Amino acid sequence: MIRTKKFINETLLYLAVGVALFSVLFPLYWMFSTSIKPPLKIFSIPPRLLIEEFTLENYQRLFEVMPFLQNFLNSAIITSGALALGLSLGSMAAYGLSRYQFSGSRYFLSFIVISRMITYVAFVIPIFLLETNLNLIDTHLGVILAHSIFVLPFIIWLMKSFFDEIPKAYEEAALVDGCSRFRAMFVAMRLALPGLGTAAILTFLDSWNEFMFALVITRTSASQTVPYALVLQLTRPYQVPWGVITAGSFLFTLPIFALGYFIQKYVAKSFVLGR
Amino acid sequence: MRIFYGWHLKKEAMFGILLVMPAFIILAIVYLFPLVYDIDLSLSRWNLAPPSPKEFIGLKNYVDQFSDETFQKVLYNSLFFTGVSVPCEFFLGLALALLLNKNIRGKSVIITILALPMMIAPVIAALTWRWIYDSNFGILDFFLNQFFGIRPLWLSDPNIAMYSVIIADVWITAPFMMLILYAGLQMIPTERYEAAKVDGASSWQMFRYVTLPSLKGVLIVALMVRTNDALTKLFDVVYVITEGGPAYATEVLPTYAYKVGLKFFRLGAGAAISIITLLIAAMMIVAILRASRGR
Amino acid sequence: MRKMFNVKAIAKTLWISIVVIVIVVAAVGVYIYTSQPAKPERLIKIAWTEGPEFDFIADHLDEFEDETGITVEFLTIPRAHIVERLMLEMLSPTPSIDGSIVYVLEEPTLAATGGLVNLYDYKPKSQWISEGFYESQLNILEINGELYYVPSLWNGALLLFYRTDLFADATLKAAFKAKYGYDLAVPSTPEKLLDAAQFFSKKEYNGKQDYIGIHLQLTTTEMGSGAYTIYPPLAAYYGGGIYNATTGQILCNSTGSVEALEYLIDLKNCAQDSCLEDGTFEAERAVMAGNVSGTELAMADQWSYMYPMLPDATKPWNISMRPFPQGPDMLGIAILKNSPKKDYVWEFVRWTSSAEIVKGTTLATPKAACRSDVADDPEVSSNYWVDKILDSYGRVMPITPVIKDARSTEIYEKMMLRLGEAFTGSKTAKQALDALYEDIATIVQY
Repeated sequence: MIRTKKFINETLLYLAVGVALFSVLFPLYWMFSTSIKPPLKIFSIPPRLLIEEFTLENYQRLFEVMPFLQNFLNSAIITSGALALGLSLGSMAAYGLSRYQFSGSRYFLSFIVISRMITYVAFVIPIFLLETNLNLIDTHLGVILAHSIFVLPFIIWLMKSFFDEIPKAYEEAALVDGCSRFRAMFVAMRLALPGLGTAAILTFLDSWNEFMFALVITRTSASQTVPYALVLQLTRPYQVPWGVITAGSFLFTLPIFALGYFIQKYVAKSFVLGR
Repeated sequence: MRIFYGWHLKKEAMFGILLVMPAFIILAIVYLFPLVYDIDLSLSRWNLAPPSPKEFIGLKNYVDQFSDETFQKVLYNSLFFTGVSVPCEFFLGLALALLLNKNIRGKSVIITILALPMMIAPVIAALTWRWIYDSNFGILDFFLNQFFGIRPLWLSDPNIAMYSVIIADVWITAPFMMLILYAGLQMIPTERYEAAKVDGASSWQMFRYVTLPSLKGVLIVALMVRTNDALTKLFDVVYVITEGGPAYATEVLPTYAYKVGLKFFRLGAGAAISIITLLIAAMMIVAILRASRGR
Repeated sequence: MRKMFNVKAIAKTLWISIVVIVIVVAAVGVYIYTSQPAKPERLIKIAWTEGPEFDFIADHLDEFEDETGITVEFLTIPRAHIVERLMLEMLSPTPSIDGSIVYVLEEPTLAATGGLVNLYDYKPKSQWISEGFYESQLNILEINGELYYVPSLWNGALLLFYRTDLFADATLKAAFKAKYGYDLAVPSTPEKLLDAAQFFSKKEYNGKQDYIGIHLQLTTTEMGSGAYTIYPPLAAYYGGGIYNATTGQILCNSTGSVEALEYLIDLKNCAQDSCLEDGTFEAERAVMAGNVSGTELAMADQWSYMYPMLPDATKPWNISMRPFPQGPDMLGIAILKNSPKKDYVWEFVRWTSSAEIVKGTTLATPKAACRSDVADDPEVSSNYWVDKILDSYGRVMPITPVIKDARSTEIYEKMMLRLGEAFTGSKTAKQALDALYEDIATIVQY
């Protein structure tokens, strides 16, 4: 009896997991399969479920129909810039907040926490006016600065939690040994490397996938990122090129698929530990 | 310890401030300034079509918005969306986390796969779902028509459109909940379960008296974050799938603020809507905190 | 159990790899940036879109460059974003574009900022007219006596498409005569259109099968301006309107407007189920061609460019004058006042509105010509669609102008909202239009 019950339980378990996997994988499969279908077959009624013939035509058209390479590069530059800026300035600030008490540090911290609650749309108009006057519209730096709105507070908050966990003993030992405060800070940084890794990955995700600021600040392919460029394809007159859109989506998501394992591991950790 | 005495203390503070300064300067420019400017803007009237000079009008923007039928609908949409999608994500995430907590083969691969939706750009996920929802060529329509004979208009029926957005958003964010809760579950020491078993607890009782209380902290945080995000960050998905339509059926606070500010060019009103969103999100978070303390 | 990964080592490698990636990307970026050729001096940037007309101009662009020495760079901007983009450009002291395509619906909003150049400054109205431009079209585009663009790129007209086999069928003709008392013919008035649509859509009238009486596009998408071009002209035809910007009079709930909406609701009940949906171009084509099972169309209110795209094989269609007025769908190039290269853009405008180029864009897909010398040119006038379009587009049926108020975008959005309520039955026509009255009254106070 118990054995059958266990068997049933196990089957149900795997069934449930199977359903979950299917719900996650099917849309992704559909996106990918659309990207390798010949363009005419994409618009067939009824839609073809299985991949009968495949072609790389959509990927070719992707590069003809929009400056995909340029857009991809823009995304990469902007994300790297946001990462560089955020990690360096953010972890420094986090260290300062964690180790040193000074007036206003608590206010600074609460401001950081509140920043998550504000809809980014609120920033759009002031940022636009600001950057127009500084001539930063349609530049990579302009978008990087806009991304700092969410990158910096997040990194500061996350790294501060990490630094708080690290005992001060190591830095004090370093200071006693005659190191400068900067050196001591680097000691702490090395200990907090997992935290930096987490912060880097999550920041990478947020900046890579960001859409709204790209929508407002970029104008031409000089700085347009892939998410915005793909959405632009939606509003084409005559025919929405779904083959091109899905092809671009797939290529853009490839780096994320590659990093997938690390991402899911660190997201959970950061949340639970960061309390 | 002894090093940090006397005038060294002042030097301490100086160094700390030095470390924080660069980040603070940037944040002051891109975060504080816009925020203050927004508040000022929300108390003014400044239109661009037709152009009118910026003038102070106090709280009139706020009053106007709350008495505007469209804004009321948008507010309702945002609250409805939050009220439906957050519990959905929560229960789905919890269910999946509990499932994964058991012994399953290939667990890490499964978790990685299940975590994919939240790693993809929301815009790209939204594009994928829009293609699935397409009334003529979408796979969902075909499937439902073939097997159930129904053809709901996912994108054009005002009664259904919001659910389309909810489904897509839950697909994107339930994995986030799942990961958080799973990590939380992993941290529960097995002794607790064993103690409960010794006491003769059934699995339901174990769940109620061991699992849930241990998860409480993580749960509350996740709930607060998701509620806030559902109210204030729902832009990409709506913009791509329905653009707020049909007939404002899926217009939510963030997209409406964008529309009023940058499509109709009533900058004061747009800023007011953003501030209202912020206040509502703050109220909900405080409410959640209060409720959690009460228990 | 497998050994757990060494978290520190992973984190370290990640950290290093990120640094490496950043350096590599930065290097590549610098290389690309510095290896770009120097920009030519006489360069103008024009916001642009897609289509056969635009391809035609792009193909002949080197003629323009040879003639004037001006290089043109096109930046594609989707129609849905035109207002946002251009407004932001006009706010900026250093606009990134010098000229842009402008649509007639968005023109009032953009013009109200004062950021567009008045073309009459370069060439007075009398000269435009003596060159052959239709005064009726120029009047549609004028705002406060200023002209911001000419419709040299697109002048789309809605036509009545009808199934020749159905209108020639003897059984159907007999049944129609029996029911309505006059001969079945291609409808030339709104009332006759409704009769025909209702007749075809009910088997009990025509005895054969249910057809879709008429195919309508009632939504706002890039596919068709939907109710923008259907309702306001109908309202004007029945003696009503929406909003008169010059007098400030709100006309949307007058008797004529209500009658027009009630008519449109009746017509909508003979239309396809998905008429309130966002259509796609492919879907439209499939439905018109009869490739979607179970939905045969009898008539369609469709764009002129659609006709040559219908594969004749499945169903026989012909086109006729639209039996009621329409709104304009005009597209041309406007010049931004802030741009230092205004004069160069004017050269481009002058070239694209010349007879030779207008002939090319007119022939690219069926549309109304903007110059009479082009319409009379034998190569153009020999086409079957020229007369039918011109009749629908000002010659017989008037063109109803758009609301020339800066807040027109918002007004039309509200109008779509209220019309939707009337179409779905949640409000009666009168209730919906009364609500619209309140909406417009609020909007014009902003």
